[in-house]
Amino acid sequence: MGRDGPELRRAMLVLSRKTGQGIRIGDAIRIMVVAVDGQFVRLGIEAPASSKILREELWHSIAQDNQAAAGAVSATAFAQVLRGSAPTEAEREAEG
Amino acid sequence: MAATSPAGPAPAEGLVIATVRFGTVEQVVVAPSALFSFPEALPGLPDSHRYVLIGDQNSAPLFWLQSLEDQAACLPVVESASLAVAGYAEQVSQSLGAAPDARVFVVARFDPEANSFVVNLLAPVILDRRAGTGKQIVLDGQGYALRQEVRWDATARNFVVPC
Repeated sequence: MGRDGPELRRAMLVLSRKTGQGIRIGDAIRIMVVAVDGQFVRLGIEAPASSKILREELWHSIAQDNQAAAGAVSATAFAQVLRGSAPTEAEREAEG
Repeated sequence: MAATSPAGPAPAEGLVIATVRFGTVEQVVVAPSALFSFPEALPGLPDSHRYVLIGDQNSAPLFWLQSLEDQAACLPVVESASLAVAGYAEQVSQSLGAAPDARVFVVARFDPEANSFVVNLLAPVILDRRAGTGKQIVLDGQGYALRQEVRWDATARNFVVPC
């Protein structure tokens, strides 16, 4: 996949920054450390509107959902239900 | 919209593509206007940047986004107009800004065991017909669920969120 954790970490650039310091990525993206409080780091991000900015875990959930939907083998049943030709309760019981 | 053509020779401008929407490989003819490029890949499917929208009046509101690069990647999607979710269309348009030719879809799954549908309201897929491009946006912080269970109302032909 190329976007899973371990591979990311291998290629990850790690920098130390203090509150008020920042990082530029290319000429369009600026990330600032706004505050640090224990485990929490507040980051400020300036980026073009076209850049999608997501919390890592949210991106990961969406990725998992897309993969599950893309790999589903239930499209036939899906289409049948929408056409209104879904098996009735009785048929389902008879089948199972 | 005629995404698929009836049996017979393919029209000169039609494209024959392979899809796995029903689990087996099937050839369908699609109009060039059904092709969409995704400059930014869908999360989780990093190798696919070109999709074809399969489906027509007969399948609506169910459509499929079939990847042209990865035959195994075929996403069932439903058009947002078929979602009885108050304010959803407005929220999506607000997030989009001006995109008059956009069609909005949500990724959908059907669980035959539970006989239930799950749609991803959090991250709708937007297809821009004018530009021929697609993207998945995220309606962050607006209370929409990644996995929203919905019920199909066969009479109204729309998806309803159970109370």
